[in-house]
This record gives sequence, structure tokens and C-alpha cells, in this order.
Amino acid sequence: MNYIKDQIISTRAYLPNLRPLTEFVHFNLYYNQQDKPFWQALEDISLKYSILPLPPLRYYQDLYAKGWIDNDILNSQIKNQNSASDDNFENLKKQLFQTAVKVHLPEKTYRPINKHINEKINYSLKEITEPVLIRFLSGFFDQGLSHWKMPFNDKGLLQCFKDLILHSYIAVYPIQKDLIKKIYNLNAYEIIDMLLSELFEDDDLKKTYIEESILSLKGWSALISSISAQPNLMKEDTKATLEDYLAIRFLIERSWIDILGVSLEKFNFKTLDAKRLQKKPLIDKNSWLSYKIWHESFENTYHFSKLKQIQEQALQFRKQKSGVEQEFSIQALFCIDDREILFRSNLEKENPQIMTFGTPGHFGLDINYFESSESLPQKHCPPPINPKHNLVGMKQTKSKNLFKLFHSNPKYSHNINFKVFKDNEDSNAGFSAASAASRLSVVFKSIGLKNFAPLIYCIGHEATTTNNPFFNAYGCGACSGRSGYINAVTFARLANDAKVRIALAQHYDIHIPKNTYFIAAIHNTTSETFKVLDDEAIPNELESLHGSFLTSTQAALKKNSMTRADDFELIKKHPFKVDYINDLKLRSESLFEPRPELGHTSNAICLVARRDISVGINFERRAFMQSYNYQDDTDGKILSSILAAAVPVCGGINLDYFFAAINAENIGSGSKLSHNIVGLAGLSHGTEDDLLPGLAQQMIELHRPIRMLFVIEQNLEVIKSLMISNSDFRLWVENGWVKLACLCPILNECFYYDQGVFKQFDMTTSNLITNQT
Amino acid sequence: MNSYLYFFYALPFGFFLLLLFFSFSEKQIRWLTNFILLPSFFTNFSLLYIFINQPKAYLSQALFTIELGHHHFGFSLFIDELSLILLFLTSFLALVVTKLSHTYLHRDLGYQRFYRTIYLFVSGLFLLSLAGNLDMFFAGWELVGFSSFLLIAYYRDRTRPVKNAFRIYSIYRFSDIGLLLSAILGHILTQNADHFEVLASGQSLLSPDHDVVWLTVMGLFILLAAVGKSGQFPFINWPARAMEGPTPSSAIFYGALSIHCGVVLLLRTYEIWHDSTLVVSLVAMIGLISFLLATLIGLVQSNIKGKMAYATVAQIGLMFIEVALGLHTLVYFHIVGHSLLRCYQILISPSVVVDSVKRLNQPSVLVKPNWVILFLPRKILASLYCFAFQEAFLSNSERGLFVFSFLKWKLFFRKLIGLRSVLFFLLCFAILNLFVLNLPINLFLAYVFAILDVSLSAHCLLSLKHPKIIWRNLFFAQMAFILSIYLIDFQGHLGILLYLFTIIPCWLLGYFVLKDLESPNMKIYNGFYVLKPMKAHLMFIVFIGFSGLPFTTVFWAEDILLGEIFLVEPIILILTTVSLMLNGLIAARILAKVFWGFPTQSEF
Repeated sequence: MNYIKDQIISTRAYLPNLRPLTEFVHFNLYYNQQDKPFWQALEDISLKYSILPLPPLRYYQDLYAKGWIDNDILNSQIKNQNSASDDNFENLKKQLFQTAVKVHLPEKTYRPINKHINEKINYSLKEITEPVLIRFLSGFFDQGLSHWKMPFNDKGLLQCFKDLILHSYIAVYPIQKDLIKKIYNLNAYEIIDMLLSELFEDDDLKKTYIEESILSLKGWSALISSISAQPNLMKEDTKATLEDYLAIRFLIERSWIDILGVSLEKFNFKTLDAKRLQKKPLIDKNSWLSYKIWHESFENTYHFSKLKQIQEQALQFRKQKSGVEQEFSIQALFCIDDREILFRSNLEKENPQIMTFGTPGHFGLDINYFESSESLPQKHCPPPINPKHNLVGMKQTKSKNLFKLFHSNPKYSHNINFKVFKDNEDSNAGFSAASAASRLSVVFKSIGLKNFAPLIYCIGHEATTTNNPFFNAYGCGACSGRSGYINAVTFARLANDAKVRIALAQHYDIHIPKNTYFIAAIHNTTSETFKVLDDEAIPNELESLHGSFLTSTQAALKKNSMTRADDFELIKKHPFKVDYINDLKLRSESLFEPRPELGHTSNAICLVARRDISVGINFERRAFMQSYNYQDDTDGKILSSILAAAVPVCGGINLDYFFAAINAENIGSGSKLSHNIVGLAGLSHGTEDDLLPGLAQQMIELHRPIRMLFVIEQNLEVIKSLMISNSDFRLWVENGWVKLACLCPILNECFYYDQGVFKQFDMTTSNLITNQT
Repeated sequence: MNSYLYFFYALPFGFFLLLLFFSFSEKQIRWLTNFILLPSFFTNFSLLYIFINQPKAYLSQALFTIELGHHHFGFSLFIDELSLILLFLTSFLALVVTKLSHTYLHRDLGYQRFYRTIYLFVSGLFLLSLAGNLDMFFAGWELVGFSSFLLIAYYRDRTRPVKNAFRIYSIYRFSDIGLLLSAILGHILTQNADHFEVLASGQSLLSPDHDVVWLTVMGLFILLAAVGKSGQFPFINWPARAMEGPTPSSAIFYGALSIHCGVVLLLRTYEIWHDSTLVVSLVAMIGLISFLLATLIGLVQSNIKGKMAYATVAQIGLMFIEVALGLHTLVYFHIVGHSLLRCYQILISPSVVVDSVKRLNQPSVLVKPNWVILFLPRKILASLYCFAFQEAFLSNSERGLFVFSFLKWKLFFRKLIGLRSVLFFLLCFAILNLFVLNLPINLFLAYVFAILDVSLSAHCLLSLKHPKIIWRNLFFAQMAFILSIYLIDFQGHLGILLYLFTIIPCWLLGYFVLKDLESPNMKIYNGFYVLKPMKAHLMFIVFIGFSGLPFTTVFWAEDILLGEIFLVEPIILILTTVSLMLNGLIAARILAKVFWGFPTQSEF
């Protein structure tokens, strides 16, 4: 029965990454494909699902006409892909500009065996099986929507199914009790094997059929697959595996076949043509090539233009720098999030005394937060990390409001009433001084913060959304989609503590001056509000500085709101209006607003460098900004730890947007307007449909699908050695899931990673110099 | 009284026509919307004022009458408490939903289509609330059903909404048979066309020379209509399948307004059937069964919109009971309270995750009191659960096979069609007989052709052949229909004229559209609208013609024809009504199967 296990493992790799809605965070939708080269993965996905995971050719031709794709870059891409003669070049170019091709979409997923069975029984087996199956699954995985829990649902998917049917006096149509009695003592593998062996003799056919059955309900199988890999995703230890799913599916199908009175011999799978089993690709190799050329040149056009600006700024900065470091009176730590870049630059412009840093919004802290001592944990760190520290919130005194019977206020309330330190050595709640110091030191070192200003702000960020099932997609990605205030407050309290400062000085050689004070604050990216938390203990001499900071934030927020208001057609613009904060606030609280904010729309770059080399550049809110000083990190260890968090988080966000944007209806989750919430586990259209992975149409409609370019300011040799030592990072870059560029401060040159080698970037032509490694 | 007042209620319909023929930008629609519903809102107040200041318990006004042969169609209005409640409710909810959908549907491809359909729906509801007789009520009723079909299938590029829309439309058409027949009966059995006024003034609708049993028959037909429209037993699970369109449309249709139409019909016609113990007890029984079943099924629903749908059905069940008991004031309160609450609940349904996450974090609320578990043994519990989770064995997909075992009829049809020469001979013979021979077998032939008509139509509805062939068979069905009417010594030529006036151009247009389509496969939904948008649009117009919407002549022809047939041969009446309803369905099916659904061909 190994063939079942093997086939399940190989099919599972094609399932999208779907997690329960309560856990929803950005991931690469097809993260199981990451060990393949990007374009290979796209082709395979296209083949498996009979969808085209790229926009139509027209899309690129329009971009070309608008000048979003540079002609020179396009030409060099064509040459790159095709080493042969000029003749070939012309042909290829002609092919790029051909008009649309008509394509036959056979079915959403091509299922040859199912089709064969359908022809014999005269019904669509899928259409009569899946409603029963989906109803059972959504009942089983329900996390608290239905009033009546499914009986036996603590026993695992298959056992629950068997028990429910055996115990019921009322038959579950179409399944016969006798069938269940017969298989009651068998496990999932035995059931699958038994049912399949009755149908097929050939192992290959069995395998194909298993694959068909899994991919036919890709949403539900994806959910089951992630639960089987990570059982604590669901609240009540829900146990389910793909084997269970298959066994149930085959049992239902078999029952239908019995009810229809079709004998199994009639199927006669020997007549099934081997040719028919072969899936035909939607478009041929040549068309893939033109897609690849179009897309790569589209990405390169944008990336190279930004790369040029960054390199110019870097050269200028290095020339100017004459050893005198500017003194700042205020420093502010922000999340690397692309939505914070606007706030940061506005703040810096408003008050030159402010210096800003970017670091992932969990501030290096791994926290499991419990709202009260009995409630369930909320993860406040990047999804791949397993948090080791528990924080428990104390109860706030709340006034009960009888008018909120069926709708509670969706806004986050900021409960800062929790202890960050351990009471005693044995308790597992809170940080000890040593663990706190180790976490803080990583952050300080990675952002290159050595000269501490008197006032340092740790600014988390959050979003307000009402009437929106994707609420976790707007929060802080580094805090698993939740509000970043817990981490900001914890960080500030830890850094203000005397014991922690002593530990930092002793073990990590970080000396925080006595008069330095950390303040936690939270920035709401939807309504553009800024709130200082935990500011009661500010030393008196810093009050005036704090006041000046607050005035600058207010001014900066107003500027933010003006820029952001341009995104929204429905906000009424007025030439003399300088403050759109109220409009944005209204929007964030509206029940009828599918776009409270645009989230990470149009993200395309992640800059890992000193802030100085990006100061004057307008990134149009498309960049993630991580502060990093290469001078403190000659061996690349710090860089490695930065990339360990930044690449999966930023790359994951980027690819989540990427996949939804290239085909929202078939890869993403379609329009938000008709979404229905199923068991708090997932979304579907209507009441008995497959679950939907990915982001909704409304969240990506302004997004241009561009893979993320990581621009790192570091010596080329360090990065090369990092690519060898850090295998995760290498996989992302080598397979082309993210792009990589290196600003080498020693050679004063810029390098771009292309097809396995670093190529030098030529600033005058904004293109790569081809004949060089 | 001021009849110009009613002009304001026609505004939504005018706006619908405007949006049907011209394309507007989002901004223009936004701007125009302000002027469509606000006047009707103020008109409601002036109506209320007039209503309060007059002595009678109702207000009625005959606008004009159209005389067609010896038929007269009265356009009369009737306003009582119920009308006012409905008018206020419709204006208010429609205003809220249309105003707020500006942001919700912003940048959606079907923006104009959405508004167009919503306004058609609103005008249908206005007509339905103001209707003075069953004909006008039926007109409003049809508009509501039609717009409902369009909004369920709002996402034309997905197969499931289209499929569900078609299923629900067939339930609608089925229940329409009831209302159409009762409207015809209303025509025949009474002398006065202003049904509701007669009823309200306490007189009997029946003219003295008819038997009282007709009122029971009429009541049964009305009940059929109400049950289908309001999703009561045995149709309790279509509302859950109807939650496919954008959330605001689901809220206003299946949470608030459309779903209550059945109750409104029962209230309006209460005086017709309240003397018949059979009908009254049936209404109460159906209400009770639906209430119990829907509550049970609702308990196990694990998706938010399905839960809302069953909760709605349960409440409507209660309303049926209340209507049967004669507690009408209570029903008024119930309708208003329920529609406002449910509309709001469906609108905010996406926020249930945020709410639940908060709830999950507070363990005191996490464990819900489960009253069922407390009392019942495990086996009974499991049985009840299985019963509920299979939606009481009423769901379409479950029973699909039983419905489709009907497909074996296909063989019968095929044989019937196979006997073409016999059919042709029969046709010639019938025509010969009609004009030359005059043998006394006309009535027999009429039955033959009526049966032929229905079976041909049913064949068209189930056939998997090329739509062109289906369309051709539909033509034969129409011929059989006309012939069967002629054969029963029939006088309503005007009706036939009106009928053909729409049907012939529509059929020709349909033939032109379907003539050279590339191999559509009737087993699946083809989604040709992507490649052939113009043809899809034309087919839509054909569909409007065949479905007999009130603004086509078919609607009036139906009234005349069926009325005439009833006078001569009541049994043929049933067959003809069925075939008329099937016509709309056939056109809907071809539109859905060929032009809607996930596109099988596309351009890249």
C-alpha cells in the first residue's frame, strides 16, 4: 500500500497553502513547489489545474505600449533566452506581439478516469459525490459556527464518519450501513486499497485516480493537508489526514455506483486509452517562452530603474561621508512593512532630529499572548518561529453594553496590562533578564543601533477592518497578522529595565545610556492614527522632546493621509484640503467597504541596507525596508539571521499577492462580494462549494505581479558565501522565487543575480553587463 | 386623489430601462441613484397622510381599464396597512442597500448590471404592494422572481451560481403556475376586476353562479405559489442555495424582501381561502413543518449564510402559522422586525470571524449550552444529526437522482420525436379536419396536441442535443400549442395575436443566435458570453420574451388565452399553463447552459 502514501505525498505538493481563517497569514501559495525553479513550478501548476497562472498576453502588450516594459531590456531578455541567430530573434519578437490565442479549457481540472466513469454511469460522479462530502467536511471542521457540534468529531475524520453512520438510525444517503460495517475495522489505507483494487488492476491507474480525487476539491484537501502537518492549527485538536479524506470520498463514490446499479465490470478500464490519461498542456513550450520573456522584462524594467536610483544615492552618500556621524535626539524603530515607509519618510522630513530604523515588527521577540489566563494563545512572531515566551493579559474592567448583542466592536483595544518579566525562575510566563537581553541584542545589532538617543520609540502597527473575513491579512505580517502593540510594549519595557541593560552590557557589549528611555507606540495603517502606549513613566526632562515628536507625528500622519487618499477613487478630493484622516477613519469603520486599505499592494522591493542610502528615493510604498549596517557584520552572521526572518515573511507576502494577482478567479479567492464563511475555517462562494485559497480580487486589483527584489548592501563575497551556507535562502534565490541584488560597498558596484551568476549592473544603460560573472 | 403621486413609484422601472439600453459610468449611476428612491420615500409619507385622513380601512383607485375583446384588464391600486408597510420597508431597505453598495460594489465589473437588477426588483415590489388585483400582483411577482434569478447568477463565469440560479428559477416557475391559475380563476369567477377591494369590503369574490369549492381550489393554487416563493416545505432548501450573489443582494432578497412575498400573498388573499378548513390547516401545517425542519437543519449548518437562510425559513414558517390563525397585526410586526434584523445580519456576516476570534478568546462563552445533547441518548442524537445535516432529504443534489430518474422519460420522448412521419400526418389531419372535414374529433385532437406540446417542451428542457435542435423542437411545441387551442373551438384570437407578436420575433432571433454556434455541449455550462458577448445579450432578450415578463405582450396573452381555455376545457388549461411555464425555463436553460458558466474557451 505504499503506492497510496507515495502518491499522496507527491500530489500534496501541488496543493495551495490554505490555513484556517483565524490563522490567516501571508504565505507563498504554492510553497511546496519552492524546491523547483519558479518557471518550472508555474508550468506544473498550469498543467495540474488546467489554468494559466499568468495574465493574458494583452496585459503585457498594454504595459509595453504604456512604457512599463523597456524595449532594451526586452531585447536583451530575448537574446538571453535564445542564443541563436538574428533570424530567430525576429521570430521570437514577432511571437511576443501576436494577437491573442484561443485556448480550449477542457474543465477546471482534467480528470480522465472520472470522465470515463461518468460516461459509463451517465452522471457526473463528482457532482453527486461532492455535495455530500463537502457537507460532511464542513460539519467536521466547524470551529464554532454551528450550534450543534458534529457527534464523534473528536475521533478523527474517518472514525467520525464511520461512527456517525453506524450510530444513526437514519441512513446517510447514499451510503449503506452494510458497507460501513464491512470496513469498520480497516484503516484508511486498507479501505482505499480495497475500493481501488475492485475498480482497477493497474497501479498507475490507481495513482492517477488518487491524484484526481485530491485535486478535484483542492481547497478542502489543502486545508486537510495543512492540518495533518500542523494539528494545532485548529482550536479543538481536530485530527484529519488526506488518507481519511480519500477513504471517505471513495466510500461515497462507491455507494453511488452501487445505488445506480452499475456493475464494476462495466467500467472496463482496459479500454481507457493511455493517450487520454496524458494531460495536455494548455499552451505550448513556445508560448511559455514568450510569457517568460514578457514577464522577466516587465520585472526587470521596474527593478533596474529602482536599482539605478539606489546605487546613485549610495555612491553619493559614500562620497559625502567624511567620518562625522550626525547626532539624533530621537530614534524610532519601525516595522519593515511597506506601509510604514511613507510614515517614516514623512516623519524624517518633518523633523530632522528623528532617525528611523526598520526591523521586523515582532522586534525579535517570540511571544504567545493569552488574553486572559484561560484563553487560547495568539502567536505574536513570524509564522515559522515557535514562540517560547508566554505573556498573560490581566483583565480590564469593561462596561457591558447591552446594545452590542449581535455585533461587537471590531477595533482592537489595547490592553497593556500584562507582566513581561518572570515572577520566579520556574514560571513559564514572561521573559528572564538573560533571554530578554539575547533577543534585544539581536535587534540592536541587526539594525546597527549603537549610539542611543535619549528617546527611542518602538512603533508597532495594526489595521482596522470591519466586516472583513481577511482581517489577519491587514495586520503586521511579522506578528502573524495580529496587532503589533504587544511586541512594541514588551520591547520597550524590557529595554527600559535596569537588569536587562546590565545583561546587555555584560554579555553583548551593548551599552544603553542611563538617560535613554524607550516608549512603545502603535500606528494604525488603515485609519492613520498614532497612539503612544505606556507613556506614564517618561522622565521629566524628556517631556518636551516627546511633545515635539508627537507634533511631528501628527503632521506626518496628515501627509500620509494625503498620499493614501489618492489610492481611493471614492474619497472626495479638494485642492485645498490637507488632511484626509477623517475620510480614512470613516472608511476603516464602514460595513460596506471591501477595501479598508490596500494592504501590501504593489510591493516589489526589499531593501536591506542603511537608511542613508535610500533617503531621497521615492519608493511609492513598494519597498520593505530593513536597516542593516554592513560595517558591523564582516562575516555575514547578522545578515543571515535577518534574512532568515525577512525572506520568508516578505517573500511570502509578495508571492501571496503575486499568485492572486495573476489569476484572481482561479488561483486567488475571487471576488470578496460573495464570500461565505464556512465553519470559521475557510471561505467559499455560496453554501456548498470548495474552499478558496489566497487573496481576494479587491485586495490585489491594483497590484502588479512582480517578484520581490532583495537589495542588500554588503560585500559581494559575503553574500556569495552566505548563499552557500544558508541553504533556505539559496533555494529562494536560485529557484527564482525572489530576486537578489548586491550593492557592494567595497567595489562600489552593483551586482544582480541572474541565472546562477552575479552580473554587473550598468548604471548608464540601466541594464546588465552580459559578458561577465 | 392625486394619481400623479404614483408616478414616483415608476421611477425605478424607468431607471431599469435606462440602464438596460445605455451604459453609464459608476459616478453617473451613483449620482442618479439619489433621485430614484428618495422621491418614493417621500411619496410613502404622503400616502400615509392620505391614508390616515380618510374614513375607510383601505384606499383604492382604478387608474384605467384596457378592453381586449370581452376581457378587461383593470389597472387599479389598492392601499391598506400592509401596502404601506411594504412600501416603507422596500423604500427604506432599497435605499440603504443601493446607497451603500456604491462602495461595496465599487470597481466591480457587473456594477451596472447589479443596479439594473436591483431596480427591476424594487419596481416589482412596488407593483406588488400597490396591486389592486391578482393580475397586477402577478406582474410584480414575476418581476421579483426574474430579478432574483439574475442576481443569483450574478457571477456568470462560475458554474455553481448559474446552476443554482436555474434550479431556483425552476422552483419559481413551478410556483408561478399556482399564482397564474389563481389569477385566471379570479378573472373568470368574479365580475369585478378589483379583487382586493372586493375582498376588503367583505363581499365574496365569487359571483353567485359559481360553486364555493372554487374558492378552495383558488386557495390551493395560492398556497402553491406562496410556498415556492417563500421557501417553505417542501422547498425549504433553496434559500440556502440562493446565497451566491454579492452579499447585499442576498441580504435584500433572501433576508428581507423577496422571501416575504409568499406571506404577503397569503395576507392579501386571506379572505379568499379563510373559510376553507383544508387550506387554512394546510397553511398552518406547512408553516409548522417548515419551522421545525428549518430550525433543526439550521442548528447543524456550519456556514454563516446557510445558517441565515434556514433561520429565515424558520421565521417565515412561523409567519405562515400566524397568518393561518388570523393574527395579522402580529404578522405585520413580524415581517418588519424580521426583515430589518435579517438584512442587517446577512450584511455583516463577513465579520463573524472577527467576532468569533474574540469569542474564542473568552472561554466563558466558548462552550455553548447545547440543549439537545442534554436530553437525548447518543444514537437518537446521531440520527437527528444525520437527518438535519442531509437537509431532511429535501436537497436537490441528494434527491437529484430521483428527479433525474425522470430522465428515463427521455426514451419516451425520443420515440415520440422519432415518429416524425406519424406526427406530420397527425398535423395535416388536424388542420384538414379543422378547416375541411369537420369530423367531431376536434376535442380529442386538442388533447393529443396539448399533451404533445407539454411532452415536447419537457423534452426540450431535458434534451442534451445541440441547442439548435432544441430550439427547432420548441418551435414544434409552439405549433402544437396554438393548434390545440384552435381545436377546442376557441374565440380568443386576440390572445393568440398578442402571443405570437412576441414569440415569433423572439424565436427567430433565438434561431439566428443559436444557428452557427460552435459545438456547445449541453451537458456542461459553456460560458460563451466571453467569446460572443453580443449573442449572449440577444439571447437574454429572447429569454425576456419567452419568460413572459409583464412588459411583454406574452404576459397579457397568457391571461386572455388561459381565461378562454378555462371557459371551454378546464383540463387542457393545466397542460397549457405548464407548457407556458416551461417555455420560460427552456429559454433560461439555453441561456444558462450555452452562454453562462465557466468559459470552456477563452482568449489568452
